[in-house]
Amino acid sequence: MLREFVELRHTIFTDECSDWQSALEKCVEPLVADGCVKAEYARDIINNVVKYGPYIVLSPGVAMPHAQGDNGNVLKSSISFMKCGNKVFFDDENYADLFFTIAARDPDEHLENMQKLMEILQNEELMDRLHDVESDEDILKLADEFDI
Amino acid sequence: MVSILACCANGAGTSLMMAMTLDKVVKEKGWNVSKTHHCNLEEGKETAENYDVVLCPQNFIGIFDPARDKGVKVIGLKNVLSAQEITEKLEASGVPLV
Repeated sequence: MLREFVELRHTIFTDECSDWQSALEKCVEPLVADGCVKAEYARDIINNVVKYGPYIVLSPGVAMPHAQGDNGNVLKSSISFMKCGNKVFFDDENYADLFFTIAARDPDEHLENMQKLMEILQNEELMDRLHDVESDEDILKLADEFDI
Repeated sequence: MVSILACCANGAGTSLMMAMTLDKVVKEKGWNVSKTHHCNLEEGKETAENYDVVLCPQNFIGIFDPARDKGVKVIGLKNVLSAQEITEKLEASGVPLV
């Protein structure tokens, strides 16, 4: 799956995000470019965080931005990967520099995407290494090394 | 036999992650779990009382106070990917897992 992020051009690397809202706007860019989601999807995700708090931060350093897929802003089930050069704080406790943005359209495709993502997220060693990637090449190296 | 509900805002993101982590833990530990389900908060609020345990992100636990008053164990998770946290909190909850 890691390799797929690069092959589908669903990756984005950014040196710095000044605040969490701009981080969330940035993390959907690859999916917008590819026609998987409409630009408004970023707004949906931001609104969710405003409403519910930063529940999208799954664990320290790792966020999974997502929102409902049934309002027409998601065209295709997809995931993108963003690495931010700095830790983006959502509040005093919750921060992330890795963003796995999920868009769900078709429940079966979505489930398959989530299962593949889980494999990555549950591999502690891989996750540690992902915090250091700076380019697609770095990701491909990890994909080879971890065969994932 | 214990039934467990995983809830989050959308029902398709964080709750699915929690449910998947949970399934892995249940399998590894061989716990006696009859049913697991994941859903969003709206559905969760209605159905929580039908389960023995509700898992949700830490900042949502207040939403399940009505269910807690009816005897449902409500467990807030800080790290929804952590098998360890889910294991520890479920074991500490007092529900009959084995």
